[in-house]
Amino acid sequence: MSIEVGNIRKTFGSFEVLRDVSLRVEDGELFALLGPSGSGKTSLLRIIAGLEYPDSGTIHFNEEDATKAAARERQVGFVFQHYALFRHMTVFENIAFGLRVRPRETRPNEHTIREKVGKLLKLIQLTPLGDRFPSQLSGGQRQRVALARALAVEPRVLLLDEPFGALDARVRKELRRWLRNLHDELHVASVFVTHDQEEALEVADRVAIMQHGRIEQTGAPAEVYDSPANAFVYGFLGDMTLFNGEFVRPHDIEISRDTGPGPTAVFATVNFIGDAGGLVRIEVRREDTGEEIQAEITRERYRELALRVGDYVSIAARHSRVFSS
Amino acid sequence: MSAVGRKRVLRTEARWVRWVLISLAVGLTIFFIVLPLAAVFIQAFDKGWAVWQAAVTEENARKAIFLSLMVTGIAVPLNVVFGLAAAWAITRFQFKGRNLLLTLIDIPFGVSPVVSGLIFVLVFGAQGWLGPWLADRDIQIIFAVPGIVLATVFVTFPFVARELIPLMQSQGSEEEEAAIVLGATAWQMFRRVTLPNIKWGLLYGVVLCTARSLGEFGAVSVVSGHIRGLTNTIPLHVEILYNEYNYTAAFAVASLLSVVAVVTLLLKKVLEWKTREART
Repeated sequence: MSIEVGNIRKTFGSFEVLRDVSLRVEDGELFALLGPSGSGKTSLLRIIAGLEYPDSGTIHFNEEDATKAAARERQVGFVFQHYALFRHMTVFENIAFGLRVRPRETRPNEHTIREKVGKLLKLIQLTPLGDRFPSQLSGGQRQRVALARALAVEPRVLLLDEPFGALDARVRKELRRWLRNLHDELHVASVFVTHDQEEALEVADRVAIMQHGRIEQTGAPAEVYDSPANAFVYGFLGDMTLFNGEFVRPHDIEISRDTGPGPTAVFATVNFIGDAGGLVRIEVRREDTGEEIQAEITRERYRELALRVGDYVSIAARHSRVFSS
Repeated sequence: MSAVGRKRVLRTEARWVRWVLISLAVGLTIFFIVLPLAAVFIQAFDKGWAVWQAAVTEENARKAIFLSLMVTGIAVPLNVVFGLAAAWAITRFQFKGRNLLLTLIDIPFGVSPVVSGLIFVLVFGAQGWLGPWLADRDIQIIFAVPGIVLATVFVTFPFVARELIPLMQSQGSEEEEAAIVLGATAWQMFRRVTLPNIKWGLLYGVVLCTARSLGEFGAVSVVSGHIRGLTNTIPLHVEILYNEYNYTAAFAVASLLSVVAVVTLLLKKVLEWKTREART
């Protein structure tokens, strides 16, 4: 089912959280709302879910107007940032909740509920833990239970608020891949909120980058990364450094020991070397302007250059960008 | 000075300070709380079990006990409803006057019970604002049971709300939102999510509210009129017996209230522990 958000505005008191936001999420798409905290992405997600109502604008699910529909009528699955599992219920009862609260006419019988919850437990690989309470689970396990609970009601769309925000780095990466596979299997339109660009670019089919309650750019990960609409998007999607007044990715800065005179040559001294990680981070200071520039080079190149702090080098940019402000 | 050395000095100093403070605290507790409580029971059974029993089952005592239980039976459920509503409004909504409401809830704690009683006399009494109107319709509130109920409800109003507000604040509303998104109605959400989460805190509030309802003296004394067998609650009955130099009977009935106090204390401990568990 597709989601269409049209010209949404929302203010809390005098603070404008969303200023005329429009976007469309296609059926079966995994969509990321990416932005720094306070950019309005969570508010937008809550408005789609019906937990918050916009001051103006519309929400459509498959061309059907849902702007005024109550949250419980929207049939959305919502995964909260801190999971919001029912603390006094077992994992099994948490997942079964959405089925048990259905009106009598549509409520499945106990046997069907057991079967369905059993399937979901298997899907999230927690079959043996059905009798545990949320407090007895790890963060990653809680996250999966929250997801299973949302899926149990067969939602028309799935909404996830910072789904991996509270997890440590390793579990995060694992769950990320797992969510992507799960999404491909279920094929339900999903929107997730994140402030982590790496996460958004790796997992999502399309990304909307938000700032100050506005969408700055929407597009496929490669599209927004390769042709950012403005300096904010460029800076948010990756590290950047200023070189000759233009924006450059640190890995596009070339360092060489060839310090012979030339018309475009820029000379610098090495300030700092961070050689832990796949790429080596080099910070240099320009001789002429005193500006500090960040560069990233491969380990091979680093070994080849045999750089040390204080070395005199020349630098150049492979690609750079200018944005009209 | 090394860290270890400093620590040793601190500990030596703390030892006698600690000793003095502990003995002071324990001594005062024994002198002001344990001894008087023991005295109540010693006095109550001074003339034997039969006299105690007679004092407690005598007609006016029975009526006082019945009245106290009835007033409590009305005041506590009312305050559970008020307390839930107030705690819900304060923790789940942002609205103008939220802080004012929070302050108003505390007023009964700050006002002397006698003043609380006088407020009702002023409003409902024969010379009060609504007095003539009520008299025309033959409705008596002051010096009658309705007045006692009103005064008790007023005095015990903060207990449930005060207990629930911090608990519901710390638990947040995410679980409730989750329930709604999963298709629960407001009632289902309350029954299946909110109530189980707050039940220990609620029970704690109910225990405190009950103890205070049974024991309230000041406010009730002002509005009751002390009519034996009609508007006397347990504490008022104790006072009358005492004023009539009927010490044994006074202490016998008072021992009932003391038992309530001890039971409350025990329940309080258990519930405090359970509430803390629920908060994490």
